[in-house]
Amino acid sequence: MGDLKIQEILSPSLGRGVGGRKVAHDPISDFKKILNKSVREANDLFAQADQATQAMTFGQKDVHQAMIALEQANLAFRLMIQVRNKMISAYEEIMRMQV
Amino acid sequence: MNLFNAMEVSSSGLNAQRTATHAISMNLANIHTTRTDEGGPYLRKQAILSSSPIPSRFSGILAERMNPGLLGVKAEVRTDDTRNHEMIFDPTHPHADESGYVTLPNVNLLEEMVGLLAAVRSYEANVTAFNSAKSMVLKSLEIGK
Repeated sequence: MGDLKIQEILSPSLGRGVGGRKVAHDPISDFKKILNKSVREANDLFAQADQATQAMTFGQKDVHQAMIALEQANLAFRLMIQVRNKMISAYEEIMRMQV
Repeated sequence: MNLFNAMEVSSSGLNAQRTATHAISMNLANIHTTRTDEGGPYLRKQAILSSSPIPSRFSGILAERMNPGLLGVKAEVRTDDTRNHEMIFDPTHPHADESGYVTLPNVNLLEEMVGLLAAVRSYEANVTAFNSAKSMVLKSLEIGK
């Protein structure tokens, strides 16, 4: 590991852009974006799983295809839950900070 | 999603083995069929497997472009088995030719049963591979707990 410099660690959170210019960095919209993205991914896979199950009942798809779609939706959901847990715990950690 | 590449490959394997079982079931159902729509006895069907990029879904096509060499498998049902048909002498049969011989399909029961066994085992192997990929993903979600 190279030398750790406090300034380097701090600078990304201050949002210094290229050439030292300050870039407006909105933490709230970032938070929302990450959570939104993972929720949307899980939701898309759920829709696909739903479609696959329907196609299976109509005899257009095999059972394994429906099961695979369901499993993928399940995994994406678990991943989403983990993302949420991490974000909540980070939030709680910040709320505990002494002012 | 990169996470699901192994699963898409397993899925294509499952599809291929399913097609193989379809072909074998067709052969078994038609083991005594002496007349088809094309005329003549039933011809043995075979599932020919060839490797192919993961089909059908955008994510599959994207995954193939992102890491070339990621190949699934696809099955194609063909009827190019050219072995000789067995002929039996039965002048009373409606499908007998002028000299009284009936041409039977070129399907061998034992061969089909062995093929079926192989297809089912292969299907199971693909399910196991899928489950392993799934448990790997679940394990990776436990990182940092």
